[in-house]
Amino acid sequence: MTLGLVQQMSYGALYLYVGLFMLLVAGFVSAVLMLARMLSPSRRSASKSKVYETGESSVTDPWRPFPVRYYVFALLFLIFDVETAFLYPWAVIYRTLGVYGFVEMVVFVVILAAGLVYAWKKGALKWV
Amino acid sequence: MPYSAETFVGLIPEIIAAIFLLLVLMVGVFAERAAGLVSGITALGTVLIFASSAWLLASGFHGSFFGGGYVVDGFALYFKLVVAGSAFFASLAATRWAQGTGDATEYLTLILSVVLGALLLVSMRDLFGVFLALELATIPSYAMVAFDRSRRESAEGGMKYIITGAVASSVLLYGIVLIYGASSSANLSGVAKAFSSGHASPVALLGLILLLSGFAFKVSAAPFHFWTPDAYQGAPTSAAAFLSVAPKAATFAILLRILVEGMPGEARVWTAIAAVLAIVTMFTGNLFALRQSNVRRMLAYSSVAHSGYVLTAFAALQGGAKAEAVQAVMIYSAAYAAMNLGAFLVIDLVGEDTKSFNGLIRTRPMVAASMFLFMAALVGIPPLSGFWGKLWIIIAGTGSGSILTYVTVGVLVVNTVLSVPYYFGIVRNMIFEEPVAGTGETKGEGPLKFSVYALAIITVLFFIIIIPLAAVAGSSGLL
Repeated sequence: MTLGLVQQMSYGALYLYVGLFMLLVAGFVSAVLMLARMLSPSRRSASKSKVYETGESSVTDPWRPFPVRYYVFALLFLIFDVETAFLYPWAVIYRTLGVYGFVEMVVFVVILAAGLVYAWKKGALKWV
Repeated sequence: MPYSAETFVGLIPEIIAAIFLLLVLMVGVFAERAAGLVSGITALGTVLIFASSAWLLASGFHGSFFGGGYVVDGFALYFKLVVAGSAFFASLAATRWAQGTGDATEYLTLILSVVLGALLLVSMRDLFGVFLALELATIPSYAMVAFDRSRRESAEGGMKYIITGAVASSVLLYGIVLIYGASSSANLSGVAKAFSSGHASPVALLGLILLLSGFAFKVSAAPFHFWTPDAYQGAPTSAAAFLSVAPKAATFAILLRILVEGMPGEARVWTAIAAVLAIVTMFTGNLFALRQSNVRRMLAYSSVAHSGYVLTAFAALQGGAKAEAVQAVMIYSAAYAAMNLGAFLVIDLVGEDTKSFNGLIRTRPMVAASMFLFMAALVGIPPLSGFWGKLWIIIAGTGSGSILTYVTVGVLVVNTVLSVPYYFGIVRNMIFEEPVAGTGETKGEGPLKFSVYALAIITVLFFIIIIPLAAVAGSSGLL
C-alpha cells in the first residue's frame, strides 16, 4: 500500500521525505543535547577543567610553536598513497590496456618520482 | 586506441610545458647554484611553447580529442600565444627577484604550472575538464602570491586569496554540477542541447548564474573583486604582473567558449548578467583606483576596471555583432597583456610608492618613457594597444542592438575618462616632481629592463600587430 502511495507521488514531492528527515535529525540532536544539559549534574572543579592529557597532568603550555616535520612526512606519504590507489585498478586491467597503459603509468610514476626526488634532495626525509 | 599521432601534434604546447616543468624542478634541485640556468630553461620553455602554438596556428591545425572534450582550434591557439608570451616576459622579469630569495626554482616551477593550466584551460570543451584546468592554473597562483616571505603582506594576501578562492571554486563547481545534472552532459555540445530551447529549467539557470559568479571571482569582476587589491599588493611584483594577465586572459577565453558554445540559447540571460557585472566592475575599479597612493594597489584596481571592459564585450555577444564581440575579447586580451604586464614590471624597477616615480624623467628617462606609454595605453589613447581593444568593444557594442549593451558601452566611455586622473597622476609625478633619492639603477636589472622595453615597443607597434591579430581573431573558428 505504501509502495502504491509512493508511486502516485510525483518525483519532486518525494524530496519531502528528505526534508522531513532533516527536520527529524535536527530535532533529535537538539532534544538530546537539551535533555542532557537538564538532567546531568554540574559540579565544576579545578582538576576537571584541566586539558585532557589521558590522565597525565600537562607540564607546559600547549599553545606554543611545534615542528611541522610530521606534516611533511604525511604529505610525502600521500604521494605513495595516491599512487597505490591508481596502481591497483591499473594492474587489474593491465592486459587489455597494453603498451598504451604501460606508457601512461610510466608517465604518472615519473611525475610522482620527480616530486619525491625533489623532497628528498631538499632534505624533507631527514629527521632532525 | 584513445589517441593518435594527431593527438600528440595538437598537444605539443602542453607536452612542452609539462616536460619543462619537470626539467626546471629537477635541474634546479640538483644544480642549486645555477639559478641563472634555471631561469634560462624556463624562458626557453615559454619560447618553445609560443613557437609550437604559432606553428600550429599557422598550419591551420584543427582537432578535437578525448571524446570531444578537448579542442585545438584557432581560438585556443591564439590564447596559448598570449599566455606563452606573457609567461616569457614574466619569467625574464622574475629572474632577479627570484634569485634573491634563493628559491628561484620553486618560483619558476609555479609560473610554469600556471602556464600549463592556462594552456589546457583554453582548449577544454568539457565542464569538468574546465574545472580541473582552472584549478591547475589557480592553486600555484596562491603559492605565488604568498611567495615573498620577507613581507607580511605577502602571506596576508595569499591567505585572503586562497580562502576566497576556495569559496569561489566551490561555487563554480556547484554551478557546473547543476548544469551537468540539468543537461546530463558535461560536454559543451551536450550542454547546448539543454539550453537550446530558450526556456531552460530553473536548475540549469541557477547553474549558469553560479558558474558566472565563480568566473566573475576568477577574473576579479565586482562584486567579487575584493581579494584582488590585497593579493596583488602582497604578491611579488612579477607574480602580480603575470597573474593579472595570463590566467585572466585564459579564464576569459574559456568563459567565452562555455557561453558561446554551450549556452547560445540563453544568450539573453547571460548577456544581461554580463552587462550588469561590467557596469558595476568598471565603476568599482576606477573609483577605487582614484584614491590609491600605492601604485601596485592602484594597478590592481585598474585590472578590476579592465575586467569590466572585457565583460562589456561579453554583453555585446548578441544581435548582429557576435563575431566582432569575440574578436574584441581576443584583441583586448592581447593588448591588455602587453600594457598591464609592462606597467607592473616598471613598478618592479622603480618601486610601488607613488613618490618613487617623482622626477623619473630626469633620473631614468627610458623607464619613464616606457611607463608613460603603458599609462597612455591603459587609458586607451590611439594608436597604443589599449585603444584598439576598446575600439573593437565599442564597435561590437554598437552593433549588438540591445539597449542595455548601449548603456554599458556608454559607461565604458565615461569610465575611460574617469581613469585618466590616476593613470596620468603617475605621468605628472614623473615629469613635474623633484626626484627623490634612491631611485637609481641597481645591479642585475638587464632581463627586467629588456622585458619592459620589449613590451613598450609592442604597445607602440600594436597598430601594425593589429592587422594579423584581427585576421587571426576573425578566423578563430569560435563563431
